[in-house]
Amino acid sequence: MLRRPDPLANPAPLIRRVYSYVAYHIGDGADAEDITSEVFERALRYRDSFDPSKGTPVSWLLGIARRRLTEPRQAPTPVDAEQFEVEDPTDLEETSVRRLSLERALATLSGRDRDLLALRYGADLTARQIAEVLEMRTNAVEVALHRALATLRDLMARDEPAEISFPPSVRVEPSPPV
Amino acid sequence: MLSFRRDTDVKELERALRARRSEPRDEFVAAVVGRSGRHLSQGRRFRAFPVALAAALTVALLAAVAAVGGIDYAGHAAKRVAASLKHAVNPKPDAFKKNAGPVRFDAGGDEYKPGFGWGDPNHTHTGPPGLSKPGSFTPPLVPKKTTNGKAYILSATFTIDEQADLFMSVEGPDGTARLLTQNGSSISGGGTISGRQTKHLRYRVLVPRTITVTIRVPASQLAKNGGYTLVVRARGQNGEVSILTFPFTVSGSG
Repeated sequence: MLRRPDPLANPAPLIRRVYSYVAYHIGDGADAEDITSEVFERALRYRDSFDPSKGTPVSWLLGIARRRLTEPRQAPTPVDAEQFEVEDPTDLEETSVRRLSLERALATLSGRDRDLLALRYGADLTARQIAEVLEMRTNAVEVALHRALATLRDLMARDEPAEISFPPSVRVEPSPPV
Repeated sequence: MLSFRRDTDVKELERALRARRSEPRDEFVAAVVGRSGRHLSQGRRFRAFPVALAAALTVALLAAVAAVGGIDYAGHAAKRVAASLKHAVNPKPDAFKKNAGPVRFDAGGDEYKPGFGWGDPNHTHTGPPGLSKPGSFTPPLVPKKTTNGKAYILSATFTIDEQADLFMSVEGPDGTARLLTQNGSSISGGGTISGRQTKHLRYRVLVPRTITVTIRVPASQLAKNGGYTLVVRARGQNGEVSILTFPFTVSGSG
């Protein structure tokens, strides 16, 4: 009798994928670890239900993670004054502005678009793998991804203040002291 | 110049989206991998293979070593393999099912004690680790607020009689673990701890002794007049677990 392959035979890369996907949705940290743990608890419990003809282990696990994310969560961990700030040497003003702009735009996207981007850039799935998770055609995923990116780009462009430009001949001098 | 204007190409946006991706801590991945492995070893279809493999290895090892005159050493090796075979047949239930997720391995003084390697037969015994409060009377645990009011400090002392992995958490009345601040927490003989906030502190005790742990809990995690429990779980090398609890109440005036 043919035995079904074990979807959790090599769990480490799967854990990383699932965590990255979850963290893409709810942020990095203890909550993302809790949810990732729960996803693997469920996967272990229901591993016999994995059907390789329907998709790869990673798409099966991300399906579990998606369902888990739609369930109500405990109150999110409050922002904590005790959290120790770590200085980021690359955290220059421009990077910060860009990141904030990106976060704002992502928050404005529809849930479906956010999920697509989390699967593509968080879980690092190909369009074909995303199609397995979402039970869509690969072409449809590619189109949806393209649209989500375009929407995101437009949102970010709208979010940015217009840059004031001066002709090269005009120099901006500080006001003289009064 | 700010990026992502209307003419920004998609590649730059994709780079920013990829940069937003976060990777899990290696300790977390290791904890989940370990738990998955234990679950798999409990499944019937996975059990037959390690048993057969262990038995075959025992026979092969004995034959090979006996051939070169190392039968005494081979005897010891056989005992070890037999022990692993016993574990494969009767795996222990996963006592840390709920708690094996966010843990942190903290390098402390224990890790560097010469002659106290993990698995040292001089510092282990059968049965679960002995975990007890020292003396006939232990004063109740009283959380103290830090001078800036942002955290509570919990200090508890207990004795452990064999090498074990300690898992320490502060649990609310509903059993959910609270976030703990590692920076500023400490373990006697193990030094201070550092790292991101976590719900479970993990520490490997190589030197059995009386230990005082000082744990920093963000004030936002504990409600005034709330009842909580500092839970210390000790897992020995054979997987057996002991639990010691320190209930406490957060003073309303604090």
